[in-house]
Amino acid sequence: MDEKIRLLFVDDEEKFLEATAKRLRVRNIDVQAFTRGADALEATKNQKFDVALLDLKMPGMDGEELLHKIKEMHPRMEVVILTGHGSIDSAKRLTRDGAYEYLQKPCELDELISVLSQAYARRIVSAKESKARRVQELLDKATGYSPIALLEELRKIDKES
Amino acid sequence: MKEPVEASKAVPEDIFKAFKPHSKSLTGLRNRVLGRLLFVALIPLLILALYLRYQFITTLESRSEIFLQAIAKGRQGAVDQMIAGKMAALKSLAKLVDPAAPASDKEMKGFLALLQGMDESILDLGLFDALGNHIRYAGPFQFLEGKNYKDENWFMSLTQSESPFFISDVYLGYRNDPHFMIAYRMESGDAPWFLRITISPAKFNQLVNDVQVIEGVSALIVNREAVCQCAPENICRTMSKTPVSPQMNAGSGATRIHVDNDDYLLAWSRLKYVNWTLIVRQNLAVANAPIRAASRVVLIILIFAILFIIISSVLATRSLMNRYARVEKDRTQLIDQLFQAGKLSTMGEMAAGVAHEINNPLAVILSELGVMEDILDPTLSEEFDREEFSKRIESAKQEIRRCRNITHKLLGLSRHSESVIDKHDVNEVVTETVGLIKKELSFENIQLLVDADPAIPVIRTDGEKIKQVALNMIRNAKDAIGKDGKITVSTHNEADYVSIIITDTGSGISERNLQKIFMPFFTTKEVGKGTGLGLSISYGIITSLGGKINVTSKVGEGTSFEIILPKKNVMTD
Repeated sequence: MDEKIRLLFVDDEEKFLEATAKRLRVRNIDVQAFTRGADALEATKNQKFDVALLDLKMPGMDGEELLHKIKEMHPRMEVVILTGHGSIDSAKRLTRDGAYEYLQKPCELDELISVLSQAYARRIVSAKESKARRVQELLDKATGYSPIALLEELRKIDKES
Repeated sequence: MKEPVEASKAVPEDIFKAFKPHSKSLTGLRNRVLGRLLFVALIPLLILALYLRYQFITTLESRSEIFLQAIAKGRQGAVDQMIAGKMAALKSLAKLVDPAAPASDKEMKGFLALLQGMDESILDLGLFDALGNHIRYAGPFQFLEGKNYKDENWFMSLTQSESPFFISDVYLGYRNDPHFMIAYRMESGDAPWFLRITISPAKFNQLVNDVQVIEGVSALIVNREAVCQCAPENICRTMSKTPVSPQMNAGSGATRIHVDNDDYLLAWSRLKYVNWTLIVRQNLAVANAPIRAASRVVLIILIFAILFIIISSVLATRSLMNRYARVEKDRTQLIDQLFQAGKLSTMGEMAAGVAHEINNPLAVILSELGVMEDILDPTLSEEFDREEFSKRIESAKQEIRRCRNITHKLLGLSRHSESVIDKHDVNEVVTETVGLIKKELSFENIQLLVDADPAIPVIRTDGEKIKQVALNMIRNAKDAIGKDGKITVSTHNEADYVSIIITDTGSGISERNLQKIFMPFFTTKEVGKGTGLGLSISYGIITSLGGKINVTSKVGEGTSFEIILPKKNVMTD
């Protein structure tokens, strides 16, 4: 875990977004901050993110919709919800829908970072598992491949993960 | 596609009365119940009493007429007998008088004494020859002896008539004193003799009135010209005209007359031997004395009956009202509890919403403080950025103010349970309400437009309560829209009232539900999402402020609530 966490941070509360992003950045997290869900979703098309930190209540596209879209487009990206409008109902629903963790505002920075690190760790593990699985799959069906083609395929898997 | 159903409903005035205690009308209700009870019981009693009284009086009156008529008949018979007795005495006496040798004065005196012994009303006795000369006389008026009567009315009548008797009306005659007479013609060859007695009307009257003494009844005798022949002094003077009706001359009968400020009952009967009528007179007050006595008894019974009815009605009403008051008290307590519960529950819902609102500024404050901590931490930042540090402090303070605003608003809504009437600008109230909920609506992408009428006057009302109602309605509008829509809040200045109209582009309310939306506990929301008390409480609030709520809705197009507030307490300043 030497690499920086690439974090997608979405919150309509601009001041909270700015201050929290600043604190995370000094703690060696690569934060991309957005106040609008649609802008954030657009950014995921061009950039890779390990973890998304989403507010729930937002004008326009809200956190729940954004969670669904991210999970649809990037199934392995971990999503952490951070909201001031929390309820047990929405926490249950969102974790069922794929959110890694559900945090309530105001939240201590240490707790936030710890959750983000755990989410990142799972992301890494699942990426490694996926890579191993693909290599295994490749080797299983590799009997007909030329050595050069096989090497090419392995490089591709490495690059993608 | 189905046409949207348009439903419009003005809330019936009494829908909320069922939920509000009305202790003020308790006295009114008691009076109404008592009034009806008394009316129902007393009216038939009074009708019966009046009917019976009428029947009773008519019966008694005709009975007293019959009674008086019987007296008149009896008295007439007695008077006829008196006259007949005198006539018979005269006829017998005539046999004792020998016309060839007229009786001496001494004999005449003896005859008179004989007659007077029988009948003390007889004044004197006279004997007349065929030429009308008064040849013998016994009595107090000695000067009459020797006078000639041939031109007198009675003498001429008696010489010509077939009947041997003549009875005169009362007249003065030579003696110049009222009297009447009974004369008898004795046939003796060619020249008849005449024998007569004169009678004092006063004494005769005593006889007439002594026959049968009945209190309040007096008898008088009149001739066919209604001239008084004999009567008690207090009724009429002898030989004076009496005011009696002419039909009295016929047979017998009864009537009423009014003389000398008194009402009298009269009964009459014609005499047999003389063309006179006997009248008995009874003072009506005396005649009706039994009626009045009986009426008094009836009246006393009636009063007791009425008192009994009133007392039992009052007692019945009191026990009824006590029972009603107990039921009413229980009901009022229940409704109070209901209202309290409703208020608490809406307060609870709102508090949850507002508490969530506080979490956001708290999160900002925490982050800002965190950044400041970072700035002070030498391991995280090389140099102290004073400018950024103070910027962060300002930002945190701003967020604290935001929290304070929210808590103030929360307190403002919860504080007023009693109405606090004060001057309020409805537009200002609307602006404050909108400020409370704008953010909440932006999350659901709901536009909130305010269209304030600048002509709205300041009215006397409870601003916080109106805020509570408007907030409730905007929340309902939000729930009806769900996501993506528009809510318009407009104010209007009308002739007698000020109105706030809250229109949404939500799902609308069906006509069936529109009838029920103001009923407590009516809700279309899922269990746990709404209490169904918001609109009923809103309705209670607005009616208590003298206003009302109208609602129109079109399924599929939206709903419009109109809050009408009376202007009558408009401040002039």
